[in-house]
Amino acid sequence: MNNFLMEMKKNRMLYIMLLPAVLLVLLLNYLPMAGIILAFKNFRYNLGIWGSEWAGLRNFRFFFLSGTGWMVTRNTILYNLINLLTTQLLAIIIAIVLNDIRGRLFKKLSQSAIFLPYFISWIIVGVFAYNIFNYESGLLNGALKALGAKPVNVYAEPSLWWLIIPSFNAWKWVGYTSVIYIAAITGIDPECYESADIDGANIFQKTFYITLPSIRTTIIIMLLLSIGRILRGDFQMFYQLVGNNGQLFSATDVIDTFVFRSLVTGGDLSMSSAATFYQSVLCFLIIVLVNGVVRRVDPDSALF
Amino acid sequence: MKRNARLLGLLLVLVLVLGSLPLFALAEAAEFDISQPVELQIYLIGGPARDYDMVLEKLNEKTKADLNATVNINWIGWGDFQTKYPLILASGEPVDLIYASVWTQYYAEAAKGAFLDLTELAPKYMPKSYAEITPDFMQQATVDGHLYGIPAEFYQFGMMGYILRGDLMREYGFEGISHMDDYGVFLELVRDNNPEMSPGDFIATSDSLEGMLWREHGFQEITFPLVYDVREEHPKVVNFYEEAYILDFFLKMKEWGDKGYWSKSVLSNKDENAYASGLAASRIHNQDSWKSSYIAHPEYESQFFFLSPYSIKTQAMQDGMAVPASAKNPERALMLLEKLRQDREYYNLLTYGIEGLHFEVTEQNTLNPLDPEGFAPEGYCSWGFKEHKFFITPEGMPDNLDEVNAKLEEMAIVNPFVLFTPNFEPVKNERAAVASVYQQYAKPLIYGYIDNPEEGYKTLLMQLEIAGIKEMQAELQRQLDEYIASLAE
Repeated sequence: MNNFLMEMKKNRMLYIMLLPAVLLVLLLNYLPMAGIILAFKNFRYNLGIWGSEWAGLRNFRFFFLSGTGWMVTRNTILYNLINLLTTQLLAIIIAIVLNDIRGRLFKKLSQSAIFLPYFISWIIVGVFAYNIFNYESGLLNGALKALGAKPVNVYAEPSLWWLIIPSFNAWKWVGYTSVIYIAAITGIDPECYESADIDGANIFQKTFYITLPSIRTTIIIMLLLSIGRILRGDFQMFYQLVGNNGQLFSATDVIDTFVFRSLVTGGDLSMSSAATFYQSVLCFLIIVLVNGVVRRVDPDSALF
Repeated sequence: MKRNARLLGLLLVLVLVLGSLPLFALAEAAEFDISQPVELQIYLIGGPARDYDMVLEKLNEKTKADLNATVNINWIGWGDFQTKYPLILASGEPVDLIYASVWTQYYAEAAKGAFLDLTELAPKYMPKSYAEITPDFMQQATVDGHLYGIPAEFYQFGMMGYILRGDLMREYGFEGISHMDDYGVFLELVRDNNPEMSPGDFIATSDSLEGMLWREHGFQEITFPLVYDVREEHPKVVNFYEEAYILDFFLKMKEWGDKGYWSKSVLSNKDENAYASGLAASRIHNQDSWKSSYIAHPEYESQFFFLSPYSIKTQAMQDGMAVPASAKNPERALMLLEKLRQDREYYNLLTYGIEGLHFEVTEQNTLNPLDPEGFAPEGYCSWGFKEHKFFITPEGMPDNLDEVNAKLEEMAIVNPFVLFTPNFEPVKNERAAVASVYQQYAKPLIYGYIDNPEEGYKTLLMQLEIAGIKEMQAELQRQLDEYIASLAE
């Protein structure tokens, strides 16, 4: 106890600076956690959260009733893994390339162009996609027909979406993510490159022996942070690109869209809380697991 | 002790002095205390007109004078009202008045305790409008003996049907629709003669030919695919997909889809304005949509055909207003509602806009919208207090409107089960699972996406069974039986 007070006294300025962040996390992340209780209740507005009766695990049943729960969990994890790998990999490549471009104007222009999709809402992207893939009048089929090929009905072919969704996702996020890597690369001591130049290293050798090892910690932290979201489907993306197209669900349905579709008519808060609770618990387990692995391999890069 | 007595005396004097102040105001506003100015929070669905603020300013001048209240209107957009509406009620945010309807889940929300019981407040604060509520509407708006919503005193005989471009019909020499296959003929004519148009304006979330099919067989929806025929004395809850003709229907839809009667991307289409913007030659919707598209585009000469064997008076809570349980000023909210329903000036403002600027009443006593861009008649959720006595027929209605209305009234039946409001709570998991199965396995069949409809149909039935349609059917049948038994008493 005394140690604690001593510590507080010694570093009080630091702790005061930390205080707003701690309060914010408590207020926005810990306090709402009490809402988990809703998942186990039969929520009625007039009785309130505490007054409503307990429902046990009843609110979770719809999720597994039709076997769809497993399918959407699988889809969510797979999509996140694919998106995670493609986005991070592309972002790293872009960051390295942009860093080596000498022309200032060209560098800024291309960076802005890559960043731009981040600002376009999924609703608009959904309209783009529909105008590209529409069977009758879409851009894609127009091009295919002009080349004499057979038109493709993208909206009836689930397997194609394993390609389409990661592509749109990467297009939208790569610019944003690459900024973080660009920052990390800028932080590398230029002397390392200078001495590599003197030793006659080429650009690939410099990338593999200097740049990548130097940003390893950043890469791992970015991966860990993304893994924390692995059970959250980007609802906007899936919903705007696919809509209510049941034909594609086997390849495009993720937890969030499934829950939305199932509960939108009933509007049951308890059941949606149950679904969120399921996502959160699985997320928690996965992140603890992955972090454990990282701690074994590379203790410095682990989050905790 | 003595000091206390003196204090008490002082208090008494104070009460008398203060009490006498609002006495004058009280005398004016009958028996209600409106001495405190309040701001009424109202939630409506949709979005405001360009000139809505202007209209609201006029309204507030009146409410300030009459009720010592100002009105603040908040909008719940069409895009997300299904999620936002329940959230607003659940949040406990103080809302004084909200639009309520069967399609905003009036009964489910009422059962959850979202609304204030108006059984005693309504006759006191809106006596005239309360007295006007007809007994059948009163009964329908009542949930478990409590009046949770005030239904608009307006009804029609609701009907879904085929809306077709009349100008094209004339061009093709197409007579009309007396069977669903006739509609197929029309779609083919459009495809062959007007390839630049989509024959039908279909989107995944709108009503489809399947909706026409169950209506044409005389069914009413409980929660799809569970339906019942209200003409029966003791109806059975039917799983529509177990009807004998369903497979033939799916096969036909496969054929129509292959023939290009609708876009092959229909399931991902979100553009519902294709008919209105002249890109589609027909759509499936209700008579209100028919009328509004007729007014918007007289040159289309839109025609309306329906094949249902009967029509039913719209439900009481098709449109209405409710006071959420979180209301801070329920009394003043009801007084405002009374004004909206009894004072033509109030009614006109929120329904038609400002007279002379947004609308005028012609010599034939029809409504001429002067500035539909600024304020379109009945465009902004004024339906919750719609009144027959203030209603003005718009100009440019279809020529055969009276004929259609007469036909609808003639074929009307009394639905003895209109008050049957199922409680989905015991089967909410099954209902959610079925809703998901419907999207995943039924919709693709309805639009002919599935190469082998026989197989697809089997899968659909199996998935419905796994989702628990049988349990749901049994539970709803039990509730319906119970309801019928209670009618007999």
